[in-house]
Amino acid sequence: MTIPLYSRVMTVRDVVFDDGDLVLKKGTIGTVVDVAKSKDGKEYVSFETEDPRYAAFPVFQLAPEDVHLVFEDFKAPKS
Amino acid sequence: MPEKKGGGGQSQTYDSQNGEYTEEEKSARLEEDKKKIVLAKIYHLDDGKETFVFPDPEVHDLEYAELYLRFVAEVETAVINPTKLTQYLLVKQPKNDKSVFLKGLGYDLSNPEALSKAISEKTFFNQVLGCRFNSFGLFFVAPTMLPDLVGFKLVRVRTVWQYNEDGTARFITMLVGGEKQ
Repeated sequence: MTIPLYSRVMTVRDVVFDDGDLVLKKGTIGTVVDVAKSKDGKEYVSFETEDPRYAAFPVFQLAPEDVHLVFEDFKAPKS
Repeated sequence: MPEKKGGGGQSQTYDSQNGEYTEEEKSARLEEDKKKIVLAKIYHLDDGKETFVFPDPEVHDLEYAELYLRFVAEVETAVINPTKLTQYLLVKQPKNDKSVFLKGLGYDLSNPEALSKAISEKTFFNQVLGCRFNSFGLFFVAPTMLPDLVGFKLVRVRTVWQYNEDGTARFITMLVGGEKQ
């Protein structure tokens, strides 16, 4: 699965756990800011959210299947 | 006991029965590595012979990862993908927009190289503000003092990096605001 980079608003498909600890809640909205492969060749994405619950460190590494595209053609407001 | 190559190229032992470390081995490895860090890097008792194992999520925990980043890992090269700047940071985004903030400091699509230079040269890799450590790798946040090209001062932001075993740090994103003091 290839995740399009940047400008894509994504939401977390389901609750994400890491080693039994809750990492992200389902429905958290954010943007995929990076796609890379781990040492064992597994693709993963870096997901950045503006959700205030995660303000201290708002970037997470997730498997591509953990995120879901919301608005592919979302138009940013003009600055 | 079979050998397993650790992240730093150092051999580690693991349980041949299930391919995982035994609890005893994990605990021994973790304590050994922490002790090395404390002696060699904090108390400067490094005889030059100590070798450190790159944090392995099967063995180490977050505390070790932070110690490793702060006292052992020496980032030699910052790797910044130019498209990360020209297609993301410097372009208006519906969410997580940084372009307005950066434009206020004098960075826009006309000078992405200036932003790249500022990020790579003004990031303090030895000051880890936080890190996440999992099977995908070691991600950390470091402070970056961005030169304000308009107001001629330095503005503190946070940058997120992935640490690679070869001593490079790959730029992931920039965080503006929301920093807890």
